[in-house]
Amino acid sequence: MGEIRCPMCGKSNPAESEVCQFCQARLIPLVFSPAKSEPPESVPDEIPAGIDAAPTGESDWLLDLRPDESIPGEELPVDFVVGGSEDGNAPLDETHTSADDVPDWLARLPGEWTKEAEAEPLSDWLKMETGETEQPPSKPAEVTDWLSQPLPDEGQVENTESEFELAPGEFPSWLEVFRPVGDEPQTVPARGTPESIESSGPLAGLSGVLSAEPDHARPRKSPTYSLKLRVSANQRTHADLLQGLIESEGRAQPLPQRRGISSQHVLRWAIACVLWGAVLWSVITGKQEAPLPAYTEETAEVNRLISQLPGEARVLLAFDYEPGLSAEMEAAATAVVDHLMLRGAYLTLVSTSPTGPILAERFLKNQTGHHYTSEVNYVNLGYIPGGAIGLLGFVENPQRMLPYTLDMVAAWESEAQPGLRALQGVQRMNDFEMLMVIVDDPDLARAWVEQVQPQLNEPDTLTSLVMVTSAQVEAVMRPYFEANPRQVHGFVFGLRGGAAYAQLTGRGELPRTYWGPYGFGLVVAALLILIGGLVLSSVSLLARPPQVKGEANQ
Amino acid sequence: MSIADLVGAILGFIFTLLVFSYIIGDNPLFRLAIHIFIGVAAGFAAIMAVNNVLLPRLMIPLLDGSRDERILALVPMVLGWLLLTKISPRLSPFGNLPVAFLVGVGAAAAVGGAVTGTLFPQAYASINLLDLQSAGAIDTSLGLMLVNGVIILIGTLATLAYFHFGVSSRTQQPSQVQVWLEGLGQVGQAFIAITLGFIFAGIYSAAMVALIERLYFLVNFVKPLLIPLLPSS
Repeated sequence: MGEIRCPMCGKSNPAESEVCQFCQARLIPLVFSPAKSEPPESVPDEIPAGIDAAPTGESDWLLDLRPDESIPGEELPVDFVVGGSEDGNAPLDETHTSADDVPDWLARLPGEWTKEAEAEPLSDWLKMETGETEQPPSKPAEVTDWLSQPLPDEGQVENTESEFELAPGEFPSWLEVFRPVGDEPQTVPARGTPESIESSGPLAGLSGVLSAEPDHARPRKSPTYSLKLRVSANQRTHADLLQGLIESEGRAQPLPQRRGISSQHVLRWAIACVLWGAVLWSVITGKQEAPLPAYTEETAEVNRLISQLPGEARVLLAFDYEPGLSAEMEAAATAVVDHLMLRGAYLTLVSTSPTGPILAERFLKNQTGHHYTSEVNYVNLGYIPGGAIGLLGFVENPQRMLPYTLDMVAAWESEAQPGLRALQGVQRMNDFEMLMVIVDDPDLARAWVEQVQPQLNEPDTLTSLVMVTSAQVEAVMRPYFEANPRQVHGFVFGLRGGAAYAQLTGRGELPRTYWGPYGFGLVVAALLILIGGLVLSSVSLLARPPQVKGEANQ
Repeated sequence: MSIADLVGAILGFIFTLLVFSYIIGDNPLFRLAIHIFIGVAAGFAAIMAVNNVLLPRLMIPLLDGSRDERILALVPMVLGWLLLTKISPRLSPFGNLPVAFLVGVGAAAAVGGAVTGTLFPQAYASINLLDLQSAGAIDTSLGLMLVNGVIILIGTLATLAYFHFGVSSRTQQPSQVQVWLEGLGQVGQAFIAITLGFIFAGIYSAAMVALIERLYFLVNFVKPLLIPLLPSS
């Protein structure tokens, strides 16, 4: 059996139903039959053309609203056009309705409305909307053209039908053939499955039409999709780890409780006592004198370069180390700077560290056996601010970068003044015979090489770059020395390098003093590391559970 | 010994003991010494900045310089004042200009120096290690230089391979190239371990020298005080 789909709610209803079982919307449009209609005796002029016909299956509450008796003289116009749905969006078949089909309550509505309309004048905004203007009371109210036309009689209804009804859409002939409305009875599809039959619109009567609006307009629950990711156990572990890390970021870490004396404390004190005891015993007794180390190639190269310096050579000396490492740096540089002073070199002191200038002054003060005077034999230009930028600026224009000494004395030679003796004849970096950098930081040492060394690559440049570094910088500095061509012409690293240089020159008391306890301390430290490793390995082997014989065979 | 030297020696002795107290763990004495060191270092850096930077390079040119020097000194002064606006959240956008200038110039100097001072020269030097003609010029044994060059070449390539973290995105099984890179990376790991061990030994050596120097200082400070108390033999 065929079904008819409600144009409003989209649900299927039996074919014989006039109204929807679900939403009470009319399924079969009202059809106006001109033959059965009778002209009303009196029709009010002001009937809205778009008023809809009431369905036959009204609700009780709507029926209660209707008065029992009709008001005489208030009847619907004959050619009242009925069409469209309640909301007017889906027009039904445009047909005329007969006066008999019009219920009494509907026929009375216009009359009531007319009375009210006559009693109450139109508001201003409504007048503006309708285009009416306020007329003097003497003139009769004008009516629109379609209302002012005389009502047709019964015989003229069919002739004037096309003038008052909404013109139906004109279909092409090939499409008109497919329309079963009025031509042939609706058939049930042969497939046996009930299909809806379109009840309105250009496709009225066709079965199997895909419903457009109702299906989409029907409220439905939005589909839900699963948000679960297919992750492996390994990925889950990593995700949990990451989540734990993120959560722990904002979590306040509780302060560790002070524990009593633990095994870690005992071990730490034992190691400290052994190491300090060994070094202190060597320091106090002074009996652990060890032979100074043999010099290496890079140390010998520094010695050769200094030995070849001309008399009264200008040497730039950079003190770029922190006070915490001054012990090692002074031990490494003492013999080298002593050699420079023996050669009578004029020293220019600079530093990229704020504490460097005062460390330089202290270093020169501790160089016994020389009478180097500030602003005579050496000049302290002070602090180069800006790190690598300042270093680059100093390399390119030292006079502009550091114009004064640490004591605010104009240092450089100019037209107005002769300048200090240590800087006479020096206008740029290449005018120095040697650049010596005493540095403890690998990054700072690399910055000096990177900013200064390209400046020294100019032709006819005899300036050599020499480094005195901490032992931890040796791994960084050695490639620059072993490069071909060399970027660093020689370097002395740590106490070992200083002691080797002291052996070369036969001078330098500080590295000689430190060398004995240093060697003894290193031996003790190596023994501690060896004993600790053996103990830890033994404990690990003993703590390992014995293997089952079968597992061992596997 | 002057009074200043004596006071300095006494303070040095006290602060050395305070720092050595860290052997029993973090304690107020150690923290007191650290705070004093930080404060003294900051104060000294501020004095050095005023005395060695602001006065000679800003104030003297502005007050006593020529017209060109004064105009030139205005640039850092304006930039410095703009940098001070970073203190105020409302005015801090004005400080973006000197910050951008500092960052841009700093990056340019660092990158330029690294390229011209390290990258190209070191690559060139690594290539020259296998240059037999230069080996003869340096008066080094040819075989020894070849072995040295090959070891450095392998170490460089293996270390670079260790820092290759790429994986194949199409297949589950690693490709032949990946297997080779992983094997080479294991060799590079050994080179890196040797290098880090070398650096650690250097740090330990520096710390050992510092300890020896401090112990010498303590002994030399205490010995004159103890000698009168010791019985004369």
